[in-house]
Amino acid sequence: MTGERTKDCGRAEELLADWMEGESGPEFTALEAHLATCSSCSALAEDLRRIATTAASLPDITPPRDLWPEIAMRLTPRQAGYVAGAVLTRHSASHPVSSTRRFRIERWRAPLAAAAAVLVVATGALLVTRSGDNAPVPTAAAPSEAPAASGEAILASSQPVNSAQLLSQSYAAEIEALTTILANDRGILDTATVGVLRRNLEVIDAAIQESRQALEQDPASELLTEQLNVIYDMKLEMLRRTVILSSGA
Amino acid sequence: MALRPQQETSQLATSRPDSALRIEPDVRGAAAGDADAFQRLYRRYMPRVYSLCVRMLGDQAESEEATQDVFVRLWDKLPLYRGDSAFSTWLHRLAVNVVLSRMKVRGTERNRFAGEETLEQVSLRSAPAGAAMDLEAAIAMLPAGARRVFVLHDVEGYTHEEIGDLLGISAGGSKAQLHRARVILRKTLDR
Repeated sequence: MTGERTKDCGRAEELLADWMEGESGPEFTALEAHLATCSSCSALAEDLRRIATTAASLPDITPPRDLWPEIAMRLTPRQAGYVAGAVLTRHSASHPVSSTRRFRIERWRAPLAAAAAVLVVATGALLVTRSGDNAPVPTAAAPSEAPAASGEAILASSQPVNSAQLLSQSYAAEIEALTTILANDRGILDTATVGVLRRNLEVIDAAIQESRQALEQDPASELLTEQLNVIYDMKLEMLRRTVILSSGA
Repeated sequence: MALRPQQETSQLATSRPDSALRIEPDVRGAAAGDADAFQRLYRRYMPRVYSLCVRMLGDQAESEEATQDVFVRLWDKLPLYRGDSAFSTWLHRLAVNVVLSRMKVRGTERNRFAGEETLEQVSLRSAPAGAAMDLEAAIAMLPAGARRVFVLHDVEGYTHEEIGDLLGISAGGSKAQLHRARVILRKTLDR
């Protein structure tokens, strides 16, 4: 075995990544033959494999302080009568969808479908724009606005809360951060691209607005809550992907 | 061991078969508003979430904030968990999304192209002279782009296809970043 670099070493290094992924074929057979005779490349392969193996068995890390008190302070109480268990089991055979619920599903499927279609179109087009959020997204509640009691006390509160508002608050910070990024990127984007994405976001925002209004009328509806959550997720996903893609613009 | 989605699923298959009909009581309780149940979930899963955060973000204070964000978001979204996948996998995906959003925000604020540092630039970054570099410290020194792929693949067990979906890159791009990360780590650990 030799430690001197040869012309085969460069090619071997190029193939190592795929070889470590388990790929096979004539060129990888040649690579293995090279590794058997080249101490430099075999050491590289061994080190890379050891790094991967060690990484897979890294122990969990514990933060130096307890984060729970701050988390508990930020939790909002569940709405009275908001029975999450119903959501957890609603797809089971023992909980068939009633005709009334089916009516609701059909009634509120339209905004969800519109938002989903927009997400597909927007991400598929790899476009970048700034959010034109016609429906103002409430900002997250400032710490001073939260009850000063302990987290447990907050959780135990039975005061009615607005599901739509809670959902909006939970997404507001991330949406705001992403739209700020896109706003900063706007100058390097072409006008047509900005226009298409803005229109798509307007459709999503309209779906959010419609779902919020429905949820305000029927605040105990887990279906409407989930729908609003899904649309917010779609908006976040679209913004997130757009931001990622804009990095390469 | 850090949370590894695929392994987690198979491990749980024998000990805790998550399904719509068999969701662990604390998940169900927390979803219904039981703060004690939620705190137990926090105690059980926090180390895994924090580990992901600190390895992806490379900053203790920000990782603590991100961990808090993950559990606050978890509380908000728990009523929507249906048990279609293992709870740990579902939570992990939530955590990854929170972290990636943070990385993107931070990366843009500080340096839009921080993830594109060259190997040479990374090599020039100073490490304590003569200090023993362990893998954790070396991971923290990786460029953001290589670090997130390395952590997601080698530490957390995501496939290149899954990473591609998460990051908006191709599976081939993920492979290239992973190899780059491993080579940088080797170079760092050899110093």
